[in-house]
Amino acid sequence: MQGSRWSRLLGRRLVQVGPVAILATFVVFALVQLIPGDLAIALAGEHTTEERIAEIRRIHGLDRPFLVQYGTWLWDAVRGDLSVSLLTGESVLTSIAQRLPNTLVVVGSALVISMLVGIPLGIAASIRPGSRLDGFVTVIASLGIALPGFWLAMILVATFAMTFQWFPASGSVALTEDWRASLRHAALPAMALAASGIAEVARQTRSALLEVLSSQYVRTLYAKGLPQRLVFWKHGLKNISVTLLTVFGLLVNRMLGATVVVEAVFAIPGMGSLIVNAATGKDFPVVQGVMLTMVAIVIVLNLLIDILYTALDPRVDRR
Amino acid sequence: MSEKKMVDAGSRVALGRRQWISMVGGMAAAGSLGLASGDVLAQAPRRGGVLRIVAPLQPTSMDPYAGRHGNDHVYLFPAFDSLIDVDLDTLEPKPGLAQSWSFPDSTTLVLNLRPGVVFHDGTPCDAEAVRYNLERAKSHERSNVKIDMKSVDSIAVTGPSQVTLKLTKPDSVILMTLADRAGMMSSPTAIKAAGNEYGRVAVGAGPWRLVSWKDNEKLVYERHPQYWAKDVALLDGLEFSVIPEVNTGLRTVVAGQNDFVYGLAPQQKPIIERSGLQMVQGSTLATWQIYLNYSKPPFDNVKVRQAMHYALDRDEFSRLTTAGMAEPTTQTLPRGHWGYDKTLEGTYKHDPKRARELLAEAGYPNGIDVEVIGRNDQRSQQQAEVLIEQYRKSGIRLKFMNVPANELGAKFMGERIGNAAVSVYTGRVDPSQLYSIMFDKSSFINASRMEGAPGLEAAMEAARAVYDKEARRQAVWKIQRIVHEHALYVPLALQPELDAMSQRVKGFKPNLLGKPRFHGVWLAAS
Amino acid sequence: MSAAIRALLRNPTAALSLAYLLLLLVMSVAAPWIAPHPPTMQNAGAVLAPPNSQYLLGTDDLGRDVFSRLVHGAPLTLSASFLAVTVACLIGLPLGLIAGFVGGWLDEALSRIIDTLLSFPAIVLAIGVTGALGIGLTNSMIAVGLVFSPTIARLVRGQTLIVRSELYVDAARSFGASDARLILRHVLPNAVQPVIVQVTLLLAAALLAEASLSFLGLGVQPPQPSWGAMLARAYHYMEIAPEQMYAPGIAILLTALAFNTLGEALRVALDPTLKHG
Repeated sequence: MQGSRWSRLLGRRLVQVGPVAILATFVVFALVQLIPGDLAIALAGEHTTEERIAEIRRIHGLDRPFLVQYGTWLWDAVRGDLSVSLLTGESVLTSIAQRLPNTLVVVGSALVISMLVGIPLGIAASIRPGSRLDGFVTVIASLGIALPGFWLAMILVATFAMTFQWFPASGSVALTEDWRASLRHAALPAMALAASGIAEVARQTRSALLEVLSSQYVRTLYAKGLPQRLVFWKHGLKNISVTLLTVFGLLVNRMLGATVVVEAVFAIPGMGSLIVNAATGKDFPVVQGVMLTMVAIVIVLNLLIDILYTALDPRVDRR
Repeated sequence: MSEKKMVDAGSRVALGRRQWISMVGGMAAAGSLGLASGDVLAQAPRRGGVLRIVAPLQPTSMDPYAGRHGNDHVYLFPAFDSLIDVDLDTLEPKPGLAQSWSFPDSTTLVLNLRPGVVFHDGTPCDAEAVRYNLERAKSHERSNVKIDMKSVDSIAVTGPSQVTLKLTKPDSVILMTLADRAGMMSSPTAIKAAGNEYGRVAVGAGPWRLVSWKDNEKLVYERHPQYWAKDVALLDGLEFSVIPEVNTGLRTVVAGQNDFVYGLAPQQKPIIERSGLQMVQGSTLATWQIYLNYSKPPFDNVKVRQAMHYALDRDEFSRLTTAGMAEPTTQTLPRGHWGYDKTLEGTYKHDPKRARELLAEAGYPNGIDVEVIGRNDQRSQQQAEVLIEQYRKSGIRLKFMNVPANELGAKFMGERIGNAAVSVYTGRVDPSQLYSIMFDKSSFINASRMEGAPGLEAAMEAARAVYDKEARRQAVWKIQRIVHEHALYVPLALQPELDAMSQRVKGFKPNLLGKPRFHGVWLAAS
Repeated sequence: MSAAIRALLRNPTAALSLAYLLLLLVMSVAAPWIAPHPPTMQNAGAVLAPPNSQYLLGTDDLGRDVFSRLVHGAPLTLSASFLAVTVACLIGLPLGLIAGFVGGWLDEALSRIIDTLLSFPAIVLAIGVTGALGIGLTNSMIAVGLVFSPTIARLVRGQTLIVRSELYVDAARSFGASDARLILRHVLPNAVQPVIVQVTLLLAAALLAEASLSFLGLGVQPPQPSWGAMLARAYHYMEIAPEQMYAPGIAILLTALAFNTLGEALRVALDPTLKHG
């Protein structure tokens, strides 16, 4: 595509995404403000007085009107200032920067495993629909989606970490510190997350391939006498790339959520545990920072996927 | 992995489970007040090594005056010395940064500071530094120890190493106050430089200095080369790893990734014993208890509150939730504490019939419904389940509303929702502090915001006004008996302290505070 | 419609799922009679016991009968899922109808809101809302319902758009028919089938969400025995009694599986493009 077309496409996508992003920040902010009860009391500590509580309210600006608080927060966030944690005093940006890599190693590994295992399974099932292999893949797919992620995590810990001691049961190591140890720590959590990922990818691959293979276009190619294998690999797979991209986007969203519970089981200091602690502790700058980050990741990734769609398949030019 | 290892692992679990079951059933001995096992031959303490410690939480603030949580002390002890120190065996005051003190009259306290003490940043810890700190404790907007300093009227430098405090009235608790957060001295230079960020910095005069703090992950300390006492900082450094989940933390010590873990749940005792680690167990001041709001029905009636005691089977509670490791109690102080009252032993025995009678006498023949605020972690939920069942048998129907631990105070004591709350009270070193925090009319923790029984305020005042040890003991007993007879709250059991460490760790002693201190601890050569 | 149901029942896995769910329903209603012990009765002398004649699946950490707790957990777990899905429909149905029917800037605005909510990872949003509303089974299920509502809204909106484009042709002929009538007579009946499929699938998702939230301590409160809470307790005792995690985990798995299988089968059965012979 020519340069101007790219920029028009990008511009159009950004205009679509913009309001969603802003709305997301509003939702993130409004959520925490709706908490009943008094944040100032929670901050004041074990033994305190009414005067102290009023002081705290004043210091943290908890008594200003809602929109003013939102505006101030948004303005700061845009300039890179996500404020400091109400409970620890550390910069939210720093906390996120420290924890995001741990989450990304696990989620990234899970995504890789899901695609690497799910796609071949889906292909194998679609080659011979109705066969035993197909049935097997369908069963795996159903199980994977119905399996509670944290239960699988517990089983993995009990089997591979406690009984067999092949993998560590908990914690994490930074990728930059020691990549081997980092991956060993991420292995079990990634497997726990990947179960549902593999299921989803396999299912979608299979059904998309079946659809393409039974389409008019492909049937015509068969009728023309082209060898089955050629048709399959050249046309079948290329056409499901759109589906695969969609599934990938879906998985990112889902796994960022599922990682919360899996991080709890494995005591990984990632984004998941950060937000659970912050949400229960009413630490609103941290909650907002984490939700913002996760939403940003999802939105940006989906934007990229959208653009890739159009690049891969010029016929698809959605509004 | 070999068959054998699998079988070993499996039988480890089975053995652990058998032991647990027999402890809960009351058959096996609940466990001794053990000290660290190890070499019979005494080894000479050596300097060196970094102790890797697992902690469940990170500090809420490294500014002693701004922190909110009892767990902070584990992090504060290494970096901060306090003016007055505490003998961990008797809980009596002993010299700290102040090497001596005197009360020329009942409202004046003169502190004579140890000369030559230097903060981690080189600033001398002299009288002016102490004055600066105490003023800050009293009046800084972020100070959470203001209430402790209420009885201090003025602080004056009366010599290069002498500070004189004038009290508004006689207050014997001031010594213990200066042994706790309020007395932890920080470098004025560092405070002024850091301003509002001082909570992240921590420059004290303790045996180790804080070198780095990676949020919710790691805190690293290094020996303070100019520390004033010998044979305290035997370890070159400390490394705290924050691992919120106890099972996980213990596993890292078993695996050799860390050396020391504290605050373990009793459920882990079988595992510790099977894994070849040293185990240290003791009682603490921390009390699991039911707070009552007696400003409104049904707990405005003393008979109903007494029924809450009789309906409880403390022994079964301790057995079910801690396999008997927690010391059941009807008073808050452990045996061995100077304020413990033997005459209160054996009171309020489990008696559901008596509980029902008392309820009927109070006008509740059909029992009562109680709204309870509880904590939502697993251990607390288990306790709640046991309590609900026990109280049901006496016609007391508990309805729990659970919140995260740090919200319990806000809900029950701040907004004053509910009739009762179940939580752990980490305890204060001085019984007077304990009682005044719980029962003072103006104290935040006192959800009832009123005097619980006639004569209580007077008794609490009286206990603070005497300095003589025996007189204090009698005064404290008087408070205890009033609180006890009027059943102003329901203590359940004392939280046990359970620590596990590698065989290399020597010289560690548990203390009643339940907050480990590493003074004098050393690592044997591996 | 009846042809679709017959097609459904001919599918063995679908029939099995339906049978299982009906059995679960019966068990939920008859729990007090089926369970051999009260779910909260504690027994210090029989803690963590293996299955025996008195305790079919053994006992838990407080000596309570695991089987009885599973049975009593069923109505709790099921009603929690239904609550969440009901909330999702109560919010999503009207929103989707309005967006699809009215169109214009209202549709744009509502669609943006739907997109926004869908870009949050579900559990994270649920945790946030539960934190705001307060911990508890009802509140957390309302939060889950809120999180699911955009899915329903989008589906209903899509169906409404389809019908509306067809209606323009009809409306040109039958002048004067009110909007409400059109919605009731034409839009809803057509939207119902895909919504039923989606609802069934969402029931599985709600089940898993309840388990996760209770595991994190945000859902059910003691002494109610939800399956998710039983798993949380099992995790606490994983070193001493790892087998505690199997009973509630399998219960959750089977039920979620049943809902999913039924939902997928319904999707196929109700698909007008496939012929049923």
